[in-house]
Amino acid sequence: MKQLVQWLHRLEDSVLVLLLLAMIILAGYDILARSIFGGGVSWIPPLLRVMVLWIGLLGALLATRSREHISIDLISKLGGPVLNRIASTVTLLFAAVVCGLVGWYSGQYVQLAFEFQDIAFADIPAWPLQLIIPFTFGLMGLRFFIQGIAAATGKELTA
Amino acid sequence: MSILVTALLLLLALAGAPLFAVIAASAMWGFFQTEVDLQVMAVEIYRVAEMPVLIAIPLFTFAGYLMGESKAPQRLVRITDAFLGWMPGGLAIVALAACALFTAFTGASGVTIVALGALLVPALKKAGYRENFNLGLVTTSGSLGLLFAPSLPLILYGVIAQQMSLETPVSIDDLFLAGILPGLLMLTALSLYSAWQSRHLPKSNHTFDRAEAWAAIKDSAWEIPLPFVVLGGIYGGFFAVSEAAAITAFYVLIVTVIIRREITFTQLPVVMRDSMKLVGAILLILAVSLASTNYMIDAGVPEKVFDTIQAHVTDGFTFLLLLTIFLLILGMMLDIFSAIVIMIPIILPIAVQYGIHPIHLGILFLANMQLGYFTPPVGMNLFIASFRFNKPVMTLYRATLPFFFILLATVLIITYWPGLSLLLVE
Amino acid sequence: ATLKIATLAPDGTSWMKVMRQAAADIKTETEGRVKIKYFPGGVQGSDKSVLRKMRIGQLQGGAVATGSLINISPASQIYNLPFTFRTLEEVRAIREEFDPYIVSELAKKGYVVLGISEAGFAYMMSDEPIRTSDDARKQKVWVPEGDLIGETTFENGGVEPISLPLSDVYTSLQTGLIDTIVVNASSAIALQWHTKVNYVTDFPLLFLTGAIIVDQKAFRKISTEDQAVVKRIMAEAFASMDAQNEKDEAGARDALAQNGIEFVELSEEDKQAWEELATGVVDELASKEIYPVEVFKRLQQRLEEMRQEP
Ligand code: NA
Ligand code: NA
Repeated sequence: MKQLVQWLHRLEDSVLVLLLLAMIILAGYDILARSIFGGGVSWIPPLLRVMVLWIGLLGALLATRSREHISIDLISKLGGPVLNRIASTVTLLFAAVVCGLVGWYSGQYVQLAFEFQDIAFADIPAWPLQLIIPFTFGLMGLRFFIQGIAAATGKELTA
Repeated sequence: MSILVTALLLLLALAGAPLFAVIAASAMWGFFQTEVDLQVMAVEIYRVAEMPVLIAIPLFTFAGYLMGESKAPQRLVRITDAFLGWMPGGLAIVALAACALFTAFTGASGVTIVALGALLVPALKKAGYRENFNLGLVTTSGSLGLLFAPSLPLILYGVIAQQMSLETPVSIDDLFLAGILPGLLMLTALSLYSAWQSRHLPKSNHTFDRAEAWAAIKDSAWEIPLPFVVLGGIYGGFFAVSEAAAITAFYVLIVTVIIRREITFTQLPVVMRDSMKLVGAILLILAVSLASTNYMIDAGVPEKVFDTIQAHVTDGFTFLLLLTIFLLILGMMLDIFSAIVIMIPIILPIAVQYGIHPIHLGILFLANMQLGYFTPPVGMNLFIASFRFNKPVMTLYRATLPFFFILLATVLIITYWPGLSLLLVE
Repeated sequence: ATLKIATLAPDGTSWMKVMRQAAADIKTETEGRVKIKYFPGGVQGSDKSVLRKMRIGQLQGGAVATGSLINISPASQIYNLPFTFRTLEEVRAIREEFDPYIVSELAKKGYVVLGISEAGFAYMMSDEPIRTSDDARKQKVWVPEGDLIGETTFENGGVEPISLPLSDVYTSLQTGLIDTIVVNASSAIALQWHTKVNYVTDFPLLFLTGAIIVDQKAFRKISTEDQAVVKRIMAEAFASMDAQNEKDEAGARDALAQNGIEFVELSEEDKQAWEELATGVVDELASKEIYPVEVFKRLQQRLEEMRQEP
């Protein structure tokens, strides 16, 4: 189990790093193509925008791992350890439910996009590009859930 | 949305629930109430892939992190110290101007804080400024410059105003001109405050030293071309904002990793990972707030809020005051582009009836939105800065407060003195 | 029932005013049984987003550019191929015969067409006069993102077009990233793009159309009588909009001239060269199944017949 989790972490990290590198290279090439060769490569800009979505969601998944999401952290500053633990548990489980719901409905949506043969750009179907939404939200939900249980029981769990 | 659910979500937010989850929950609750299929969440989140300007966010963020991890901040301090060290508040003023310039190009999407903040906070600290001042300055500067060309919000306002078949035409060139003086007013006010703040700093006893200046230039030889390449590129028509971001990322990558070797190949993936964590946190909030904004549009919430305000207004003076308050709240909650797209078609016709010039309205609208970015408790830039500098949000509330009041004063001047906006236009 | 209809068209335009009046009339005539709620100004996102939201039932309808319907039915593209029409009279005569075809093709895909609207002819506008495709090759030409027809047209003329979303065009004209646009006169003025060009090639490149479509499932929830009322009032509104649009385009042309923009006249030779180029484009687009080939051939034949008539 622990190995599987480590393997998953490494996969997320590598995909993210490779996406960012690809983005820098493609964006750079597009500028060259436009300013020097006088034309553009029509599929690069829409691809770059999809990469922004992927990088954003994978980055968010990463932020979930280390609990670095943007939040107003009032109670943990003012409350004692007991209140703190309750607040952590409740908010983490809440986030888990929200992510789970978004993941579930996104999954349904992607299925619909597949059935309707929704096109993203050029001849590329939209559904494989949209698959990142249910994937990341599902995994974020799972991570928040495990963290919530950990906060409730006071144990260290990996996700 | 019922009061109970609102209160519950607010409580969860205060208890430290991730803000994106709270926003997503409010959107989903709203959609559920109005019987809209929750698959709409996926449609809204996917809209992130339809906004070209967002490409600049990961690229500028990465470049900023990379520069922040290298020795560039030290070099920037050295060179500004060499040239401006004799001025009171010199570095802070340079920081303000740089941020304003940067924001004009990036449309205040949090990029300024991320990319320049990493550079300026350590530099300011090294120059001896108080930490709270530095945090406040950088957080505030994250939206400074919205009024300068070629800021995207200015263009967007112009495009929408032009569609309204008003008697007074609104041209984008006029808006670019109209923003200059109000923008300079804000910049000047903050510069004066910075100069006053620096009175406690140890007097730099060195006068201008030619040898040191030349050494500093040589030291920063790789960094100096960057602003020229970027600005020259944009004004020269070689590339747009997202492309400037791409060039910056590419250039900084080559310089820090291959030429200067201040970041090793093993460190590089770590920097990439860390920077993308921030990008993820920002884009996730943006993605779900597209959904909550969409719910509000669907349910007509902004119109209802505005109708209520309008019902109690009799004169132009009160209208402008209430408008300011309303826009401050709006600016905290909505991103600037949604705010423009949703509210301008409603506000503009009413404002014209109160005798407000459409160009003046555009400037005061954006000036207010600028303030909303760091208005406690939920201004977006507060959270971005909190995340970027790893400080509690409460610290940032305190840090930005003096800046908030200074800019609030300038916003009131801009609001009640139309001439400031219209002088260069007419 | 309430029909929620979204569009990129901003509120306050004469177009939206007509649409709102139609909605009010429908509400009155159906005694409040059918209400239409508009979401103008792109608040529901791009045309693609609007179509996605129609699929999940958040929106019931959209007023979209016909170009965005390409993946639903190629039939929607038959008016938008390059150098098809020369005058508005030709368009009107053809529409009488071919509108029903588009309507029935979209109906097969589950969409009710409430109206097809004319958005005018698109012209090449540039900082330099463009007479031939050689001239165009020296320019940085913008095409809307995802506009396969525009892209293929210029690529066939040896021009590598630069595709950007609508929102980036003004800034890009300003910075010189692009210097040539293809757009109708009134949009060029509304978007202020005309302030960045000096010449208009006075030869219509293509005809622009839009359509209001409504999801069939949602529309069938309305009683048959009320459906008829909606269709009739919308048809009237669209007819008046086409008349208004014609006037707007003519006015916009005058405004362009007043702003010192020069209209570049083409010689017969140049015109023929462009039309020959178009033939190649149309053939290539046929292989990509962008439009229904047989129907378009019939349309061209009808045009030929009309042009032969004295
Ligand atoms: Na811009
Ligand atoms: Na905001």
